[in-house]
Amino acid sequence: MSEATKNSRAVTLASLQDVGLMRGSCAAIQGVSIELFSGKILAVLGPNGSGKSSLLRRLAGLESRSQGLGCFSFSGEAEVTDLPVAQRARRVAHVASESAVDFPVSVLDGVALGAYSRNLTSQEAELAANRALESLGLSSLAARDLGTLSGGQMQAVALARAAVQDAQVLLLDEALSKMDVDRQQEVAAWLRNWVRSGNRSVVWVSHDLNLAAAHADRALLLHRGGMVAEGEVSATLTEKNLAVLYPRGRFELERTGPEARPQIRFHRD
Amino acid sequence: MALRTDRKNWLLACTFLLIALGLGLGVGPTDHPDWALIREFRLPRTLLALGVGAGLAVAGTALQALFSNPLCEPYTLGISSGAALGAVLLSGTTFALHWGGLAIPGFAGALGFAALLLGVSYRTGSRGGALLLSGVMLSLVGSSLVALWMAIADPSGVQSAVFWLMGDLSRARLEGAALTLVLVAAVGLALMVQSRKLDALLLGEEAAQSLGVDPNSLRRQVVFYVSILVGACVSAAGMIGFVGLVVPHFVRRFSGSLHARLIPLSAVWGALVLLIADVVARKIVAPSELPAGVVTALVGAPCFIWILAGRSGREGRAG
Repeated sequence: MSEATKNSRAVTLASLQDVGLMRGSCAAIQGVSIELFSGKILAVLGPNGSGKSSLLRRLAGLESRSQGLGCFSFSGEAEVTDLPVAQRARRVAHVASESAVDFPVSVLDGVALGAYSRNLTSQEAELAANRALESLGLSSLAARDLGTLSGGQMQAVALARAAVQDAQVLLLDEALSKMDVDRQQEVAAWLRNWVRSGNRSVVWVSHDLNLAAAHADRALLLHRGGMVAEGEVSATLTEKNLAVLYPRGRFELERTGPEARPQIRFHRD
Repeated sequence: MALRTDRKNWLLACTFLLIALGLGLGVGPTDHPDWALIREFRLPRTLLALGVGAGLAVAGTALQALFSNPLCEPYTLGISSGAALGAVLLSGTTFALHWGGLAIPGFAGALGFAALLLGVSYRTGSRGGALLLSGVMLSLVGSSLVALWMAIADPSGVQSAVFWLMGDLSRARLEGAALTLVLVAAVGLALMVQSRKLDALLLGEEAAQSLGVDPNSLRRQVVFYVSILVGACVSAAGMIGFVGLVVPHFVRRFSGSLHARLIPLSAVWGALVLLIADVVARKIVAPSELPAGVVTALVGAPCFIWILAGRSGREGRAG
């Protein structure tokens, strides 16, 4: 069965209706109406200042309700921002660039903190943390102090914590940006595997067009706080759409494989 | 493995506590005291040192998690001076007749200053130096108002201002010491119930929120609990600095930062550290005595600078 046929059977997990976010009196992002499908990775792409991170913070419920526009909800539920904090953590997990931790916390303990919103005993949380670290190939770091990790390791550990949290929608803000190329491929493959092994969905903000094109199922293109296109990666990542996002660049796309995933070459005139 | 380390940590803490207890009851102006002397003077003083030391260490632990800043503690943030101000303003009234009464104005003063700091932290953020500097300024204002009030209330009052400003355990009474211990134990347990939320806060406010912790409601609760602790400790023993800074910092080195382990171990180490500081204060300038706060400041202030330097060094390298 081809990937395209599988896609058509995708189950909607949550939906965004006219979602946006105000920053003061102007909108950082507005009018985003899409659906998040179970088992799918949605890449959010766009130039700096296009509203990617704002969209993610809006979805994560990190911004005050009065600044939020539209409605982001799981089927049959209220707006996510209005859910009690603990319940919201079962729905969405937000992985942003990690800030330094000023206290000695071991990687294992730090990852086990992800279980906060789940009713796990500390032994169960530790077990889940060990499993998550193992699946990401980080077991050797378990006893290390969080403060001693490199940027890329820190990002991988944050992903492990999100895996322990096991929310339905994982929101990634440049969560692979500091990893080396080899590690990025490995972690992106982990992400694909992870999203398909449960009733989950990933929203992945990235500046790496090729990494996103190779691993995401769908793409949302943003420009100046508005939606340019959304859909299957192969249908969305076109020369025309990319030219809207990056008007000063020229793109060459080469489509490969049965899914016609594009390989993108960027030239600056 | 964690269990075995835990047992070792507890064994060590309890051994030191017993030694400190022996010193606390055995050391004083006379080396061969009778039982009456011990019961009347050294027992209350020892118990008060345990209660205040534990209370300040637990308060420091909670404040450091609250503000994600390892340099926070009741004394450096000025919360102690808020408590002293509250207690002093009412010490001339009928409250003074019953010692326990001063814990309530002490609590009110601490709560006022702590709430003010919480407000400041929303504007400045809590990780940098701005919060600490605001705390130091609050502390100065509080201490100056204490001295001023003592001078107005009683021409010889400046003398007793030293009690509040330097911290002193020599006025301990048995009922007061017992009340402090009970309050510290109760609030310590209440904070331990929140230990997993405090753990999550170590990762930063937004990370904690994303994990399912409501940081604002947690902050309000912690400020309330810390104010009870500081109100009780300061109204019984004046402002004793740096126990709340040094003890959690030291205990984290071997217990890690998770609060279910950190809070009780900090309480025990805080208790024994202040008791030993008080024993030193009794003996170091014999036949007269130093306030215990002088000893803790002499040891604690260099530690503060040492931690600060380490932190700035790390930030410098990272940036």
